[in-house]
Amino acid sequence: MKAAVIAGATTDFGELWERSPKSLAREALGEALKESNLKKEEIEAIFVGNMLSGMLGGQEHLGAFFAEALDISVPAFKIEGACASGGLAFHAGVNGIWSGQYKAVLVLGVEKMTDFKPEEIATALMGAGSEEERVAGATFPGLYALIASVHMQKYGTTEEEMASVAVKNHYHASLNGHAQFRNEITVDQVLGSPKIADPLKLLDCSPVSDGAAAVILGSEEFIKNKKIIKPVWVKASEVDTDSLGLSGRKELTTLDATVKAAKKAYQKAGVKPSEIDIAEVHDCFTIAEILAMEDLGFYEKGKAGKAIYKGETRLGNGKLVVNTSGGLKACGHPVGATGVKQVVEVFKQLQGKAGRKQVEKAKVGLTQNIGGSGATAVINIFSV
Amino acid sequence: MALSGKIISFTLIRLPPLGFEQQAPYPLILVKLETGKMFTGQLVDHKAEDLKVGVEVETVFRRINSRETEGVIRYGIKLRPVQNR
Repeated sequence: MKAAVIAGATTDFGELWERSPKSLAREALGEALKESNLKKEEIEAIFVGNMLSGMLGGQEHLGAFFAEALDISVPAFKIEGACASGGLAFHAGVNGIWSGQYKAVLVLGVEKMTDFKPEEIATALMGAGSEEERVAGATFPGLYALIASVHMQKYGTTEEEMASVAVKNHYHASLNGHAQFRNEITVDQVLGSPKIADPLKLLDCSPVSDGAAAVILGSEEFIKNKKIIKPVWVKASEVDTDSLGLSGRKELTTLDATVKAAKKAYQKAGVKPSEIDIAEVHDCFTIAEILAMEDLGFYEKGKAGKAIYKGETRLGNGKLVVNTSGGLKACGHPVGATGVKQVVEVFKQLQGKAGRKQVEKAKVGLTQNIGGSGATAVINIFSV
Repeated sequence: MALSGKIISFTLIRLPPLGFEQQAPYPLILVKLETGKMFTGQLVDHKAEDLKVGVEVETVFRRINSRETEGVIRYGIKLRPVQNR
């Protein structure tokens, strides 16, 4: 049984105060359908990735909520795994196709966050951490700052190297019409931005965002019958977990869930890290992209910061290009939508429809979506 | 009974969650306890020079916060430098 992405689209990401979750979902699905000539009646199930609708908006039961909003009365499920909710929803959708249960499914990621004040968002996001961390007054910038400090001590990673992740991702976002921040920035601007949780500064952190992303998956038979051109095949979709809190980790400078899920994914896809052309990775904080580059096997431990600083993963420079969407940092991070947006970006790149940010001859792509400070990792590998 | 340990990583929380606004900025530290386990906690009763890797700390039972003036007062474990005991 094979599964492929056959349509994908995102809304604008940003401060969308005038937009409801329903209207964002309708727009994302509408755009995906328009580009693919599919009809919504062909969708047999809906998988929704979302984290905060209950805590912030008082709305749960999102499967039926979006089935009604989209006027598609089919089996519908909400999948929650903190900031990996979108990636997990995609994984569940893929399993729905691989199992033979469904021939075509919609994966929808959606989040509304910007109507709330920073302290409320920080509190809601800490739902992804451990009780010990909540009692400590920890925040996600704080937890990743603890990781960053250890990475700096152990490998000599610098604040300039971390800043260069944000500089690269803002450059990529400047080429993405849907991105929240389309302005280019410099290393000095990152270093001079207000401190959030030392050593992380404002411009090391992904923003609070609203947005939605939609992907339609089809089975091999569905694709053949509908004569769909250029499907992007899912070669592997793997998930793994680790302790919720940092204090339960074996290693602080490695996200073990990424390492384990990536190992399974590379094995299943029959692909080596050196064969990946493009990757969308979870740069919730600049240090997280450095960890991802190392944990996914693209660079040895301690080498990724220097490579990113040299521009090796920037569009037009090297073999592997990372976060062409602008990543979480600059495209924006509506948490439940992020994992689905990553798939949309890889889908468009592999179809050759990524516009000004197109990576030439991109054939194999990877997405890495993280929940919490590394407690959940979702790795997908795609090829045309 | 207090457990002691050493700071292995630290940061300063400048943008706090709800209920911690009045304490910010405050240090968040990761400690390797004498039991071999790690613990994440807030550092209290400290001087600026205590916020560094290797400093010996111990657990202490403290008030965490009270979300509302009439609400339940929450207590829990924090950390303080051993030499400031």
